[in-house]
Amino acid sequence: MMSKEVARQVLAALKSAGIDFVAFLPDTALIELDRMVADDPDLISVPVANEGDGIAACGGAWLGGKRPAMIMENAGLFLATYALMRSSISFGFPVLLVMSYRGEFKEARWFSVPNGWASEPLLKALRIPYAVVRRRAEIAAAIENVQSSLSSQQYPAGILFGGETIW
Amino acid sequence: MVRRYDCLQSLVKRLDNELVVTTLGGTAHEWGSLSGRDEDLYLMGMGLVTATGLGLALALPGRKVLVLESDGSMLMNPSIFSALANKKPKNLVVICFDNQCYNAVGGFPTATASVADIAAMAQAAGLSLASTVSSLDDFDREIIAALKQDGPRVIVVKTDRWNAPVPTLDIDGQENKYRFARHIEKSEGIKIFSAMK
Repeated sequence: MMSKEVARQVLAALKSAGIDFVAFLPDTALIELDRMVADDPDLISVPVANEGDGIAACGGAWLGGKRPAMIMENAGLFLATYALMRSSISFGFPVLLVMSYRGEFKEARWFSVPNGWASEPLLKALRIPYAVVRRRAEIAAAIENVQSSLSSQQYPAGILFGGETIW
Repeated sequence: MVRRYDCLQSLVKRLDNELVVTTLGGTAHEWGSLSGRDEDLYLMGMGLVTATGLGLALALPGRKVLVLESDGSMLMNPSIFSALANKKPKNLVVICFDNQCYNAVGGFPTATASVADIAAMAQAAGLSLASTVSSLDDFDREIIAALKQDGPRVIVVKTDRWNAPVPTLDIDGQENKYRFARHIEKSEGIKIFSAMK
């Protein structure tokens, strides 16, 4: 699971990239990051019970001038697909999707294995550009690169955190 | 029972610079024909409208945000009530027009026709200012209070199934986004779109 040290690195990179509004649904891999987001006075943080709520809230926040991100397990991507299609994609709301990449090698939970099969094909089907970050040294540059493209593409984009960033 | 169109006619006369986010179907088309303001976002989706309003209200705490919901939309995603109650944005008003059916597909009943009570669901989630009205006078009273007082407030309006014979909207999501966001930039003095580098 993402360590406190790595979570601090991710949070610093998100803030450095201008993220100031974060919706999140706590997941096992990113729970340290979720805790830090919830406690950060510089961010508007919105805990949700359904990732689709978070995606829609991020769209509203962007219209209000914020730079939003949704933090979730990749399982949340499946639940939030309708919200992404009907909100972020149809309208073109630039929302950053920050996801744990469950289901890759080292996955210990049988029910998370399909997450690994379906995440990238689903992102491709939705035409959502994404980066897969498996090394800690890549975190800051990946977040900066993906976030900096959101404004020009006027569309959501994602980062999947796997490898040594969560295992 | 009251007519949704009568409520919307009454509502539009009371608005100044409030932002309005609508669900799809008759509510959106009727509101578009009555209002047509730059402050309107026709979200045209179910189960996403109040969440969008929540994000907007938190981003712009000094601006009143009204959400025009439906019973079908609220029942699709009642989890938003707990998120709303958790954040309690004072500037958010949720108006749920409850015609007890999926009118756009011929009127198949929703659960509010028999067992479900949307205002009670909101209250149970922690939204104390949630009520149900079924007359135009009561709707007006709630709206006047909602526009003056802090929320979040949820107003469930029991309506009949009548749709006003208005033209359907001819604006798509992309155009609506730019119109709405440019209005926010101008009226709030903020930048949403970045300049090219």
